[in-house]
Amino acid sequence: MNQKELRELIEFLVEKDIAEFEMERGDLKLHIKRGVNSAATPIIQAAPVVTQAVPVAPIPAPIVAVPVGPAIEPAKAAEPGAPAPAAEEANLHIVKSPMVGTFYEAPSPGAPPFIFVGDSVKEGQVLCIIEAMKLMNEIEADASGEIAKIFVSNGAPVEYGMALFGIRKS
Amino acid sequence: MTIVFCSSRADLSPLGLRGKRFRSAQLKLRPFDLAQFIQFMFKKILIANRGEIALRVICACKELGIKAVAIYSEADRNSLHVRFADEAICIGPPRLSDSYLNVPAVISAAEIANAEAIHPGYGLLSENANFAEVCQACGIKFIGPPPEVTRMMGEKEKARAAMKQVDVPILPGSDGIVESAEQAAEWARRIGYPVIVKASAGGGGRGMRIIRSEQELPNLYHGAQSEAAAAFGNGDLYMEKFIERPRHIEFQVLADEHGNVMSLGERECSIQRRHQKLVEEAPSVVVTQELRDRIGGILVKSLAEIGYMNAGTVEFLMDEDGGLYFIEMNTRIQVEHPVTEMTTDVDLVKSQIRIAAGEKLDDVILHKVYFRGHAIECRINAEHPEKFTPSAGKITVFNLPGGTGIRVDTAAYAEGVIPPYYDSLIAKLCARGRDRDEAISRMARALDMFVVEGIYTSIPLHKRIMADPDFRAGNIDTKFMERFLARQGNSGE
Repeated sequence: MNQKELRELIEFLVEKDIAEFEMERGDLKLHIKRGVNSAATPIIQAAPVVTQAVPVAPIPAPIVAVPVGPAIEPAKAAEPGAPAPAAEEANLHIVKSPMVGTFYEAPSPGAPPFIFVGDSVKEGQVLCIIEAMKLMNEIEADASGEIAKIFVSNGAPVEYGMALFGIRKS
Repeated sequence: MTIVFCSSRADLSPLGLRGKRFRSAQLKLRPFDLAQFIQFMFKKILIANRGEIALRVICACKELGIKAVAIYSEADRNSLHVRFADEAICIGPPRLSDSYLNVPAVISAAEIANAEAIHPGYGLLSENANFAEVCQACGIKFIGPPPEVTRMMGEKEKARAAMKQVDVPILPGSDGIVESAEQAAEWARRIGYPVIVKASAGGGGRGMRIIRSEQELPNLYHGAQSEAAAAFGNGDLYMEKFIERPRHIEFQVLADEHGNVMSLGERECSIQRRHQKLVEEAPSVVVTQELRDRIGGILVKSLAEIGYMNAGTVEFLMDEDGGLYFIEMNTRIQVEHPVTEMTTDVDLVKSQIRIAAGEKLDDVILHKVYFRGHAIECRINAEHPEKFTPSAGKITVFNLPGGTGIRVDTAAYAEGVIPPYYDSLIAKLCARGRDRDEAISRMARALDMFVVEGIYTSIPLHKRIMADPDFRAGNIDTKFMERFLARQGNSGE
């Protein structure tokens, strides 16, 4: 079961207002429980998925967290964008940070942010600033489309290759 | 009486001591005395390196209670140094110039991690005076000597001149650049054949010619000049006495930031192939206690005069008569530092950190240093043991040897991948014994029990070196590997 199927299943359960759902299929065991009459997030319990690859969970604070375990697992060298959260949709283009530094959403403190979720952007348009060694670097969009997600908050440290924005390409 | 703690040292600012006023009342304390009661230590250090040395520095940080920040390229995402650091920051794509040698990326990482100091390891940015200056300008303590000293030692001619001035014996040579073939002949007559001309701007064997007689001098001089101009953009040559069968002897030094210097004895690194060390040992069988004390004394005085700080290694060539001549100084911790650690009980990397934090040498090295036992190190490289071609790829089996007197410094692990972008050193296998014979037998035993599969390694080569009669007898010099490989039936080089 991939993320798309899981999402569709959850939407189906919500639509039909089903409180609890259990399923076993091969090595996959799924148990979903919803808080009825509330918009509570479904608690998903999946048994260790052996057959399906679990998408890499977003490392919440990439600077602070030590990547746990990758040294023990079969190493995959040079996996581009591995810290990027799994794209929720197939055609979400991830804009990744080209440098190490501090992320700023606006050209200066107090000024309005460059872009908001939902904005349409063109390739080459400035999306944010990354400050490195006292230099403000303008980061440009490398694709055109709609800003679907902003992955970092204002003033947060970013590392090379980290996901900044998700653009739904048009 | 009021004291103003007015040190301008960036490393003291985290304590909030700068500009603070203290009352001294009865004690009449000077700010200098006050510092004795405050043992400053870094809270966080960024390690500007990768592989086994990054792990080595992380070990020292952990033992000192300091948080270690690792930086890594995308190719090193699953490295051990990333795994064991407290924080890790990806700074670029695999290529060195885009990542580990990318100064803005490294500094930026130190800034966002709030690291107070940077340990540069060896290689990479460790002897880059510009990088040390940038650290200084950004208020980050560079764990090493001051930039001016690094810069001076990096220019071979300047280093020779500086050491000559403080009475360190240097190889007889030209005073600076040899402007013409006629001048070259003049110098050669004074120095005595054989001589060697070398490129002032470079190394690694290019722009070098050995001249054994006056007749062949003009051709060889001009040959070296054009090669140097082509390789380094600078055809300037200097001349040195040439030693046919030199032994490579180097001295480990430690200097604090208060003018105190100490020598921690020598290492012999004569087993080299194409100027790359393969086996190192401490002590050297040809260095007597008298020579050790004499050179140690000269270095302590001369490096204090130069204003050297932190760890360093002074490299010498020893001629057939046992005379030592300075060739260059490495202003950093060296790959082979473990053999000194194993025979002196001094933790050199922890000492580096403590020195950079302002501690005095007497407090860092509490006991008198005794040289005990004998230690040997084999540099295990990921390369074919006969063809010497690099062997990148996935390690499928990795069994480390252990037991008495064995130390292994490595960042490799089973199922780990050796990336093709970086140098081929995968492990340093060190063996210590009561004497040289025991060290050799322990090393041979450990090499037998060091199992690496999935990639080629130099372990078979090292086993053969340990078994070699000349090596076992201590009859070695920098031409040893040439002769050894020729005997083994490989093409000599």
